[in-house]
Amino acid sequence: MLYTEKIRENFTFSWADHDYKRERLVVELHCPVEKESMTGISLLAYVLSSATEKYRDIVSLSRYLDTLYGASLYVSASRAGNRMIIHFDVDNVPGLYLTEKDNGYKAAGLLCDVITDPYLTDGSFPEETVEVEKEKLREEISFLINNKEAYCTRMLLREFFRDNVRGLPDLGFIEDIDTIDGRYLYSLYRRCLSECNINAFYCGSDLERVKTLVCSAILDNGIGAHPVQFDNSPVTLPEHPFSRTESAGTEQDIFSMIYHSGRRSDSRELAVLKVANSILGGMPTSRLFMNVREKKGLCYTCVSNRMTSGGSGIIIESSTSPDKFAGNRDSIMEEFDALAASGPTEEELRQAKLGIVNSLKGITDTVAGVSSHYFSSMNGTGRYISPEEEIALIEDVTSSDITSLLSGMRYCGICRLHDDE
Amino acid sequence: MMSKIDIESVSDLLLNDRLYAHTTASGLRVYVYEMPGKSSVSVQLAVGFGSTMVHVLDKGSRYRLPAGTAHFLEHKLFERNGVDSFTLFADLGASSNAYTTFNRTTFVFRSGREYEEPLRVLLDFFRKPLFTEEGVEKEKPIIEDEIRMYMDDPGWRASFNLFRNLYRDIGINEDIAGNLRSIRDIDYRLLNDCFDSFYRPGNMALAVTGPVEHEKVFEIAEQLDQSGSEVPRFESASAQEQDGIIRDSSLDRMNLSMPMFDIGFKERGFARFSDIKYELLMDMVLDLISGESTEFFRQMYDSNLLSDSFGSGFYSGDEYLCTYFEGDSHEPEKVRDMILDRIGSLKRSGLDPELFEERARTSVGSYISIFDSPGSVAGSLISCHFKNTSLYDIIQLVGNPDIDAADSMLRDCFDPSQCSLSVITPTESGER
Repeated sequence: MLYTEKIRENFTFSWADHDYKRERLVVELHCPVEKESMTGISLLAYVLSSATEKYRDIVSLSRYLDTLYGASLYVSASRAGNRMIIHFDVDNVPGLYLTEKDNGYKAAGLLCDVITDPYLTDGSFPEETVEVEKEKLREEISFLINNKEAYCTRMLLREFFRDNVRGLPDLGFIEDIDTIDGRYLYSLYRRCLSECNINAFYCGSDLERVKTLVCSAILDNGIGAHPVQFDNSPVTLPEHPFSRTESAGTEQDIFSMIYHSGRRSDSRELAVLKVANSILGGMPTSRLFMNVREKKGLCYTCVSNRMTSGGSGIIIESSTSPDKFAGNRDSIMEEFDALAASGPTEEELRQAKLGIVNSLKGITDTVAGVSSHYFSSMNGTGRYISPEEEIALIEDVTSSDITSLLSGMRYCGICRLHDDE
Repeated sequence: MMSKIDIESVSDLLLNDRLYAHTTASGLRVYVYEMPGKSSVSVQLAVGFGSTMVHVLDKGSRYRLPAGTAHFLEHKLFERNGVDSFTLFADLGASSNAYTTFNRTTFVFRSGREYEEPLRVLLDFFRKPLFTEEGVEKEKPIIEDEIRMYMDDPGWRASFNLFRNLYRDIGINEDIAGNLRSIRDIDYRLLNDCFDSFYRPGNMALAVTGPVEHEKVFEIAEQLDQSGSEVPRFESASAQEQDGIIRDSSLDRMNLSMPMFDIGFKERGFARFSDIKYELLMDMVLDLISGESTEFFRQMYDSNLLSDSFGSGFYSGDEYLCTYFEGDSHEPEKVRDMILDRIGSLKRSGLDPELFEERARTSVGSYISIFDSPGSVAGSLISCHFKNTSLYDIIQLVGNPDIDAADSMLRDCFDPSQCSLSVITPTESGER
């Protein structure tokens, strides 16, 4: 079972029953996406995870994590639709199995210190640390080209969203990095702390103490004291489908395509989208896998993924040898159109629902499953939908729900990487 | 060294009355870990036939199987009379997959509490399969696309270039899926012969974990009966790898943001790596050389020689042990030199007992974490089986790690003359 308490209008603390071999505490700070500050927020994740006032460099911090029996500390900043999320996460084994029973509480204390007590010199982040981490961020942004499939889909999303904040690059802009120094970065962090919404989650064996610790860290430090609104403007679909090709010297042609409804979706529609995606290309028995890959032998990879940012959408990713590109792309579009027009067979619908339901039932098997389902639900729909509630929604999906959703989506465009030579 | 866990109590909490093992009449070793509180069941069936096992005896004569044979067999096994396995499992609410590694081929499925029928379906695939010429030929373009996909992956390419720098004859020097030429030499007869030779119950292990009852699993596992199967054509043969590496560096080019490197050592003491104790110690030694808790890591990180992607590890099999350090750097040669210096200095000074003690706690945490999910328990049971050990043995090792053995391993491994550097560097503008 998962329980939620609104500590304040913009601060939610949730916890789950604990019977696991791991414990996890997650605190997310949600800030608006702004072109001017997103590079700085990305850099914050690097700087905050490298030191605290008590553990002033990455080595002493890592050694402390070792003494907590290999607790893992993770700080990231990512853009999720219309918001930047600074995600703080600590994961550890419970004291139950150890000679040190306070292991989890100590790990939670470290996470709170990372948020509220970073290492500062003269009231700002140390310039030396900031310079090192700027280089890491620069590398991280430039690494995006190394994973060709992910790079292609990022290119697709930028093209699709154009001027909408959802289309801004996830990690910010390389050209902004040089303008950042420790003083600016710390003032940005103070602003984020003041203006954010807070979502905390705990699954562990020391609930009362950890809850008190987290609540006092948030409330006593004025975190989220002056929250701001997010830009919820809807997505405008491109008037005509776009097509962009980039030369990447790849062996295969790698491409991503997008279909989108352009309107907001509720939790029921998201359940329909989940089933529709599963039938189209979300599992190894889906139409794209069975027809485009297995029957026609047009590629090895051909998958579809749900997209919930700015409304319901489906992104299809595939790669194939250049001579098969056109045939592969056209076959994928035929499969989408056929499913949108005629819907799934009864058998396909039953299989897809069964697979999704079994996977939802398995969520509670691990702390990682419980926490990722919680945040995916909260960040996708703005409220927590339990696995049981989601199962009921999935069971209700009909063939006509799927045709209605897919036929309401428009083909919006394609991005492709290939070798010009 | 003082144990950081109460071994008896952890054993009681995690293992006793939960872990069962049994060998079926046909010789299949079956492991069951009962997790009554969980909602999903994880099943892994592994065969001791992986991509490196290319050296065989064919009626007494040495023969080298085409690279990618084990992987090709994995692709085709899950198809019977034109029916794809994925459909059969999905029909029963289970999601299935299969993968080939250097040392084995593993078939997995995950289901809800209703695991019995999918388990029967899984075992049924290991009766005599019917590979056809048409089916095998049709699979080749799909595998060709898979091979090309790996060629577009710089990390994969850096690793296999490294293996080719180090090994002449061990199958690790070939891509797991083979290459565009080698898979042309694979036909349905060869796959049938390999199936008969290697997919025998005695060369396989089954792990079932989750809300299951061991008696029921053991009963179903008896279904795997290959008593009528063919006399095997092939027998495993060892490779005759010569001492010494082939080249100490290689350079390849791709469309990348910055150079990617793999620094590897061709280790000689691989035989003892059949003992899992050395695997656990090697994990610790590698972390103590260059893990985030070392001053060495900070020095490299702060001087921008390394990115966040830096890591280390090892590959081991009956005939090889390859330790490696990999990541991205503008100066891969300098990274290699600094790692060699670091190792030399550690060999002279010995491992720091305080750091060793701290790192040992991480092993304890990792061990306990295995038991958090049915999937990780199943994977660990299979790994232990092929290392001739058990989860009970591991708890003793992580509870009482031996710094002297770790020091001795450090001194025996990482010989600079057996080191090679594989670099993938960005394609220059206008160059392919």
